[in-house]
Amino acid sequence: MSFDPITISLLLAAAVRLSAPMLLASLGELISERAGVLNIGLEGLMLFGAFGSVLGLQESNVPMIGLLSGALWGLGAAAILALAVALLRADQIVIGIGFNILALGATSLLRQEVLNPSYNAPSLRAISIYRIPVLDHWPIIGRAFFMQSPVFYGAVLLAVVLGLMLKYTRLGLIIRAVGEGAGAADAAGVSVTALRFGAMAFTGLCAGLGGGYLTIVASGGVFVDNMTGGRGYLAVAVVIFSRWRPLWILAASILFGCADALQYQGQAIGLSIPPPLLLMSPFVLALVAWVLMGKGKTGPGEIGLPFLRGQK
Amino acid sequence: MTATITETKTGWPDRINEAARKLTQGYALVVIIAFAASLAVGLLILAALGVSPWQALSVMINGAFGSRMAIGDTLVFMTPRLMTALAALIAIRCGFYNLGAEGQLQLGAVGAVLPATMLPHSLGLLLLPISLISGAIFGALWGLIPAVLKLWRGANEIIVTLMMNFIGIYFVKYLVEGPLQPAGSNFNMSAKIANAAQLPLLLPGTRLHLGAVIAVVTAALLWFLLYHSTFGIRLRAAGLSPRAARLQGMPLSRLILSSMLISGAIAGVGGAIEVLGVQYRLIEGFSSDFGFDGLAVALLGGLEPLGAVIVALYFGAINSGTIALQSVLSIPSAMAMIMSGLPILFLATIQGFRLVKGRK
Repeated sequence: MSFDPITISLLLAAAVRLSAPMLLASLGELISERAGVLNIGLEGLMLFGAFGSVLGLQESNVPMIGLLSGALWGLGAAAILALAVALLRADQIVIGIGFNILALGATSLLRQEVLNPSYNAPSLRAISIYRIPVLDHWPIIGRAFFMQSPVFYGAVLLAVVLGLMLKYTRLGLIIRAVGEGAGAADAAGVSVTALRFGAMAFTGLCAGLGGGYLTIVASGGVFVDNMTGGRGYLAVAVVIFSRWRPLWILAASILFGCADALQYQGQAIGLSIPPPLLLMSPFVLALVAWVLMGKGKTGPGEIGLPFLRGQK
Repeated sequence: MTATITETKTGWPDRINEAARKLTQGYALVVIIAFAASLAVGLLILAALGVSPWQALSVMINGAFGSRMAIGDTLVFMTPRLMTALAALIAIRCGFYNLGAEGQLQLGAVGAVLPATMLPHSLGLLLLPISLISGAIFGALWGLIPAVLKLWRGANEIIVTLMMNFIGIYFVKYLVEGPLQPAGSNFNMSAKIANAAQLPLLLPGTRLHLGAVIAVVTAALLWFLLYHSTFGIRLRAAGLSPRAARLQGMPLSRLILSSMLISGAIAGVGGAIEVLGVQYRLIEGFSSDFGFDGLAVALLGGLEPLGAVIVALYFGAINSGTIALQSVLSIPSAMAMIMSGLPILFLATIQGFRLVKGRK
């Protein structure tokens, strides 16, 4: 293996670049979980976002509109999911599993019926790289953190904002209250249904944008069936073992981005880990982190529970 | 007695479990409505694709049951989903929300392919039972991990089993791209298994193999275990109310461990059957989400072995029917996944609606 600064810097840059879909999806999931909804359907939401962004790109030829379209597809799909979960109290786990099966089929069908397989994407450079002057010349980490897609900067900003929002604002307090004890929040006059609906819609927006980033920034504007490959499930786990803290989510996402990056660049630095094992490693890491975390509990008390009014 | 979609989850407060348990009444009707609604949506999608729904329906029914070969295919497609459904339902009936049938199935396939390709052919007919049992053991051990982690570290089984699904899938990918790939081959698959290890075909001119019989017999055995053994009574009691079961002095940990051992073994045999009866090799992606399909089958079947057989047959028919749709009317086979995902969405939504209404 060669460890010269340039390869390290390139590898780190790729890891950070590939961490954004996970980061965005996890931040979305964070809000759902804080509001008491364990949204397993995240995988499907990302898939819809990934498809929607390529559709938007093909229709408009503008990468930015592609990303926006991905976010809106995520939002639309999440609204359906939220209708079932927040309004009608469907079982969160069961509906998530069904939704993901449906998403896999629906996006594959739509790809074959709607997308143009021989579409030539316009230059995606503007949306993939924005150099932050001066800082991008820092050794090793300059390229990794200051020569990224504007969407990545936005996601980092979002992590900070969400962290502050949850901790210091009234809205943050209400979200956490609904996740901690929906009955008490309801008694205090908060509409649990509306709040959970909003939280899930936000999750869809973020997951859709994450899926859009995956296709447009990370895959050159091409949609492939099941291209999320379990990232949505992984994001659900990341949120929990990051203990619902946005900055830990950021760190975990970059760590998992490394596994993705090594897949493409491992050969270049003479690393001979077979790609399937690299693909597997985030799931193993998540499992180990999960087990080490142990029985301690700081998270939303009523996560996964349907809210039923009028009970002792 | 039928269990509901929201079978008791360990860690849920009793008040929610009680509310959920009231939904057993009329469960069968809800399931029928869910299927009817999803079929209607499916036909609407076909109409949107420019196909006459009635023509599509007749092509599908013909493709699923129209000939001996079609029926054989339907049963072959039913088999893995029935096995994963049985694996899911025995764990869930014990209150352990096992979403890991996919991973257990993958490991079962690994367990089967090792003896079936590596043991000397001179073992003859012994190869088949050895491979099946090896698949069961691999699956059982894989299923034991989340149970142990839950009891030892309190790790939530939903997340653990989901993670382990992908570990299993990528482990198979690793094996068929590396250690199990025959020298000089460029395909992501293992060597072909010995002839003696193959599951015998049952009907000439069809792909129907002994695995379908194994699956149905497993369902019958599981029914007997659940309803006619002390173990089954304890297991169901633990699922209905863990606290009451503990107060009765039932060994809750042992019940969870054994139900996950059985669950893993069943899914493992399911994976072994795919290798020994369908593919004759270990192939990347041999399971088209059988694990998640199986979960849907188990829940739609009311977490009952008989219900699982009926719903798995429907899923098998959807699979062979959509393949006919693809070859006759060029409709993408992704329709199968849409038709498998929709019923469970409708079921969960209707049951959720009843849960709210019941409290008002």
